[in-house]
Amino acid sequence: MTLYILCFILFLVGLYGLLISRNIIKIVISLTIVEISIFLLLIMVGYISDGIAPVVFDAQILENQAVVDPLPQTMVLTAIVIALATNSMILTMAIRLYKKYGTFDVHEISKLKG
Amino acid sequence: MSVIVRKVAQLLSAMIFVFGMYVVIHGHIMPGGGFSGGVLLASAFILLILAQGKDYFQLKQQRKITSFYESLSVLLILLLGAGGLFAGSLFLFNNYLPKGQPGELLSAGNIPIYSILIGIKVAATLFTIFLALTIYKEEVSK
Amino acid sequence: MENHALIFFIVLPFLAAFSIPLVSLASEKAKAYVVAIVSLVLMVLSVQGLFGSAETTIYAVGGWKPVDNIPIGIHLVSDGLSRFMLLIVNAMAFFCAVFAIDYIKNYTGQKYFFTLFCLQLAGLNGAVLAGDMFNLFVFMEVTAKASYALVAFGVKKTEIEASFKYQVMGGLASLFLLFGIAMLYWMTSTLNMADISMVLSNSEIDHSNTLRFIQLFLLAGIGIKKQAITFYKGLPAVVTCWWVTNGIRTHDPQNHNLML
Repeated sequence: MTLYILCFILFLVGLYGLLISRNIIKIVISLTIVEISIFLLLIMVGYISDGIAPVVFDAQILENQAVVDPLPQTMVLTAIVIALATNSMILTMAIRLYKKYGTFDVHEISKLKG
Repeated sequence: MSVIVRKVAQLLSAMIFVFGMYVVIHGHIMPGGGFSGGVLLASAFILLILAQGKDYFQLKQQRKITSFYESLSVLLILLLGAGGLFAGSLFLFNNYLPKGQPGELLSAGNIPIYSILIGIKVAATLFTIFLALTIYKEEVSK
Repeated sequence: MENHALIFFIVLPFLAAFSIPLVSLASEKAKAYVVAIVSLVLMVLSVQGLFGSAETTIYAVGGWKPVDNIPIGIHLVSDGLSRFMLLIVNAMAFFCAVFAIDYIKNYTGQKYFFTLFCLQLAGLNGAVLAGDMFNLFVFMEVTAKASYALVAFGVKKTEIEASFKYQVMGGLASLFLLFGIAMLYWMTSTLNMADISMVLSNSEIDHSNTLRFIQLFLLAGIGIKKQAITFYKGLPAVVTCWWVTNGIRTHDPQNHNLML
């Protein structure tokens, strides 16, 4: 149970960083921390202690050996790919923003309301 | 970069490339597969550019080639999936090729082909992203 | 012979999206017409679906049969509401595509516009049709990535700023949603929407507190994503339509707990 709570605390750390930081790069780092906390949670949901990797060639191994749940692992893999796309796009936008505004401070990047 | 860095990067990138191919091809019988192998393949190229500098490749031309392969591999994946409509079963994304012996390299029907195509796709995409950022930086600094 | 119309709503836009870079190598003008034709075909299919049979159809992608009454694999579900949503999405996409043929000539990088447009169409169709929670998340992300890029398409100062804000909020929202889905999977050991509803209504343990926690995350995710909670303007209004469908599908009459 402690691990799950620590995982949720990591989630909250990322959320806190996202809410208070002013630097764009720090915002991106906080977003990544939130992502990683969720990946940790998903992996822990599917994990069984002493379980083996879900790559099995022999059906007899399955009878006396626990296997970890492969579905959350595929979900994490998909989510990592999505996170890669998110990070690359958001960093591209950060580079463009730095070129247009000359700063990484979100308080100075405020041509739009809201 | 100095001569040592450049030579070591050249040697290492070949090894990384071969390891990436290994991970992609063995995707169906061991942990790994298209995405992880594709990242390794892309990192081999990225290492070369980082060590050799931007004049080593013709960046814009490379970018055209990578985006071509990116589109082509996705199209092939979709066509392979749609092949299930016509060959064998009547469903999409079914494993309709012969399965073979589990644990062998040539087994598991469609899955190694999917994994190789995804490897090409991921390598091309990551390299395209890297090239786009590099080209943009070059254009800004002019 | 199964009815394969449902899968075309997802495969055709993807096919169009990734063939556009190849088509534009051959001819510059053809790509706009490819998009228009694809969305016309989809609109005709959705009109046909609307006036077809009224019962709920389930398309099991890959043909995976349920094992011990537990559904496995990806399912596309089409009921009355999602047929209606499909018609709205595809009709809108068709008119936008026809309008874009002339309009986009003002901009550079036209092939990227059409690719992103097709990806967005595929993501919206997929999110409307998705039968399990994780597929909903994935298609939603496809839609979101395409719309982030489309918001910043003109690379003006304000457009990039708007896109950056939209990305931070949208990224956070999708992570909330993923957290909710992870908790839901933890609780019910399934991702299929119909199966989640079954498991929750059949279980003997009282899940109501956990469910409330999950509901909060899902509501926050979807709310921020469709910008109902923040007061930030400048969002493509199309995004609103998928969450209604999926919300109502997850909601079961016997089980009022999981009301998204």
